[in-house]
Amino acid sequence: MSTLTLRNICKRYQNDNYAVKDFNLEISDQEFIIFVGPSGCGKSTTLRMIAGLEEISGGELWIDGELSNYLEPKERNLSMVFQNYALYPNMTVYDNMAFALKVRKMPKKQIDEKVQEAARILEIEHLLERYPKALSGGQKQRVAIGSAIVRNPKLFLMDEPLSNLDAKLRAQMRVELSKLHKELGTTMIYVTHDQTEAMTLGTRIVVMKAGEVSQVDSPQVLYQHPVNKFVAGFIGSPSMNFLDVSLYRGYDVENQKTYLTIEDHPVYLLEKTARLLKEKGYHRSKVTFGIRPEDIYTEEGKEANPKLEYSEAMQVTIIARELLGAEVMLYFDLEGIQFCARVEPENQTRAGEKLKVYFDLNRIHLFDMETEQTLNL
Amino acid sequence: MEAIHNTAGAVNLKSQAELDALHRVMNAKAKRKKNIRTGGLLAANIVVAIIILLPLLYAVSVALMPSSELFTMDLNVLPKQPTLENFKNALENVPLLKFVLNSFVVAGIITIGQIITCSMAAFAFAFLDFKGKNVIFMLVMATMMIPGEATIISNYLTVSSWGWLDTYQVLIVPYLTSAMGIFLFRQFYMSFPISLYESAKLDGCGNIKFILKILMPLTKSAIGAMAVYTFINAWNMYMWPLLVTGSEAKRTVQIGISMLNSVDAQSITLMIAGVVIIIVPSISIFIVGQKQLIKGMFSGAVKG
Amino acid sequence: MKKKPSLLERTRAYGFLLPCILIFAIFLFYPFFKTIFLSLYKTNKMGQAKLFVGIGNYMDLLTSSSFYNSLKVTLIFVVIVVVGSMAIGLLGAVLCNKAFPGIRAFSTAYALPMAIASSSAAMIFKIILHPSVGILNKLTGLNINWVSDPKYALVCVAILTAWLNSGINFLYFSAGLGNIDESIYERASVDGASPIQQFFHLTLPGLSPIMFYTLVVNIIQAFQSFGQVKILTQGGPGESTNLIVYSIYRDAFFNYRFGSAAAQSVILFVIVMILTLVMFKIEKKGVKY
Repeated sequence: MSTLTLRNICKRYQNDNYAVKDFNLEISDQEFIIFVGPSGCGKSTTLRMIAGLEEISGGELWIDGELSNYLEPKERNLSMVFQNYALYPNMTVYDNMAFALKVRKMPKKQIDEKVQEAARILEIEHLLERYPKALSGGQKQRVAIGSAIVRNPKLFLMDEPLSNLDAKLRAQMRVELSKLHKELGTTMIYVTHDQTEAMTLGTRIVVMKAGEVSQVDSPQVLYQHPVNKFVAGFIGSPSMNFLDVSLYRGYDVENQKTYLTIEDHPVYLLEKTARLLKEKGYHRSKVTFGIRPEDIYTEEGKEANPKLEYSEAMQVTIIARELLGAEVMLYFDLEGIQFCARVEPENQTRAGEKLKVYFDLNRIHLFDMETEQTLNL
Repeated sequence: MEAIHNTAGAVNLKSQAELDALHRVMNAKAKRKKNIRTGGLLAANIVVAIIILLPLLYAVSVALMPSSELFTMDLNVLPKQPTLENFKNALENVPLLKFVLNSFVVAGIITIGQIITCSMAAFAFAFLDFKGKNVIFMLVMATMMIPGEATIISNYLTVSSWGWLDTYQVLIVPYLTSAMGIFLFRQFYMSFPISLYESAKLDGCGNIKFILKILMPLTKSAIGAMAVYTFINAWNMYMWPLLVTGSEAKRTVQIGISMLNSVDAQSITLMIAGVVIIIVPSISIFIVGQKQLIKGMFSGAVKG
Repeated sequence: MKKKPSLLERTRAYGFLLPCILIFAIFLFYPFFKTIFLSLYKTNKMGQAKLFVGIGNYMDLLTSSSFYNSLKVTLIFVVIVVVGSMAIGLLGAVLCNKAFPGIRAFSTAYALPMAIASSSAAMIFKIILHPSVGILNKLTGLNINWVSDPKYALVCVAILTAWLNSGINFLYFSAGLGNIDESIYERASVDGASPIQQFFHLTLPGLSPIMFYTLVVNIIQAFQSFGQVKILTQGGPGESTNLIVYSIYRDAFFNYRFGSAAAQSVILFVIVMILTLVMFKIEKKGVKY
């Protein structure tokens, strides 16, 4: 049960370097917020400032309407799960989970109830007498989460909790965390560098780069309408294809469409896209063109989705093919840049063969070359 | 969505001026708390450090006192008229410099000798394959369990039967190796892949050259730690030199200094001056080598 | 791929071990067994075994009140020294665990006693404890002849030894503290544990593996204290500071009773050995993680 307001939060070091700069965010009750970004972007620092483990250099942190910048970690009534789990090596699993309650002088019986309850939720009842040394990575992870939930905290912080697990376990824990969030109904803030985790878990995602917030949105919006080239490239796997192109405008009266060229083929933009560009003063200039692998279609794909609006056909030579079970990735060069297209598994095109591809014009992204901001938004 | 508005509402209740004031008050409070913490820690450290160093500081103070100042009923923590006279007298009364030289020779050779023999043995244990390797290694480790007192009588009888009493070698030879050194070096060598040795061998590098040109440069921190530790211990040796040296010519500092101990009570200041003189080398080496010592010996020893 | 090492190679390996083995053999193994051998004999003044008495030397010791006194005094001494030196070392290590201005200087101060010889330290303490000019009596206003009073002499020697041994303990504990994962303290502070709770629940248990090691080393070291006794008290007054090692020294080199001294050495060795083994047994049981 917690709301959180971060206003112009900064982390500044002596030499005037900012680890985090002007971080603004409103978090409402029961949200599952993800901080995501490449390493060193300030996401963990922000989380640690919320926890009280790092001093806040500027701005305000409000927890439930109370200015909390200067509170000790223990006064903030939150729980945190650490990247390396931070289990107390000298205590059994039971004592690890009971520790936070013991130091708060909770009656023994009540502690026992809480620990047993948490152990049941996480299915670690059989591990209670073990020491952390005798646990597997996944079990340690559960104990760390268990130690955090026994306190029924207002706010639940997690710092890359799955990064030390193997891929299979990570996928499994992802599902469980999501379930746990629904069961507990607590506000959660979760830090990760893995965009898949971010997309699958978060109700809202904060994408950070070099200490600053790039975009805060739901996974859906973030994916479809990234505000800049960084977010566009960071979210989604495989990532978006980018190419620097020139914008043109047709001269003849019947065909005054705005277009860009890729390998001398014109790609005519939709009317609404062209209008947006014109409003922002971009015509006949160079821009960055971006398209996601799944928005590139083959002839068959195009026929299967007749309602979409497509660009003209573009002839490409496939240089590599990857079969990923349910889908096929095709790689080809456009103006020397490698593009990736995600196509239906029936497609049999092999390396060296030629193929016609089409772009979904509604899913084209255009970015300013300097500021990297999205232009057609 | 409602919740957001609620918080925002609560937050907005305060004007910017109120907010700034709140910030100032709370910031000052937090700063004070932090300062008290750091200050408290610092104060505790100063008190404890002074208590630990008290005997040494007092020794320096007494060494600088004219002996008349010491023999008063007043509290005389610091010398009122500091003088270097005691140091001069101490050096004149007993051949302190000779003792210092003896100790330097003995401790120096022991240190170098231990590094050589321990490197060789550790190399054999870590890289070579031979029959009885484990048994010999266990035997070497077992020597750590034998206290010096269990052997000192027999050793004394041995060296006296050899006519070694009152020589340099009797001070040096028994200490030319150490199980701890072998263990320490072996630990470091074991962290290198065996392929390091094999590829050196393929390049035509002999064993001795491998130790000198590859292993030793790679284990500088262990060698440094070992050197500091061994030198200080050799410098501070007491029981063995007491038993086996008789003449002034071969005495080490620790035994030599006890000669000042026996002179009359009036020369207490002189005796302490002598003690200060012989402590200076070991302390200097310790301070210079402390970082090495910790890096090479203790950080590894604990992880073990 | 593993081929049998050639004869030449094996000889070479033994060659590298030769210096160490030789020294260990001559100055550790041989005298160790010779000490056991001597303990079964009466010797002449040259230390030559003359008369086989079997366990006679041991029987003499076990019926001598002086020897029991030695044992008792040594035990009290070892307890004071070990507890004292470990407490001082731990205090220093805990105080120097967090970064603050001047930490380097303080940690040097705490480790410094390890660089000081027992004999030098004993001479300094002799002055500090001096009944008329010593600073201790002057500061406290007491008039106690510390080293000549059987009530205090042992404690004085023990405190001096604790001080001497505290330096290396500081280094052990500092290294031990450095090995405790920093993030468990962060978690504890989020969990709401006060610094004192953190010390007792995390720091002390976290040090327990190194604590056992340090304890063993300290006990062995304390049993071997000699220089400070020789200079400060010569085993007296009475026999109140006649530690076993000093008693061995006196029996062998003043009374020329090498056989009896050897028997005491063997008993000392057995005591240290048993203590060490017991400690390791306890450690195996006690440290579960």
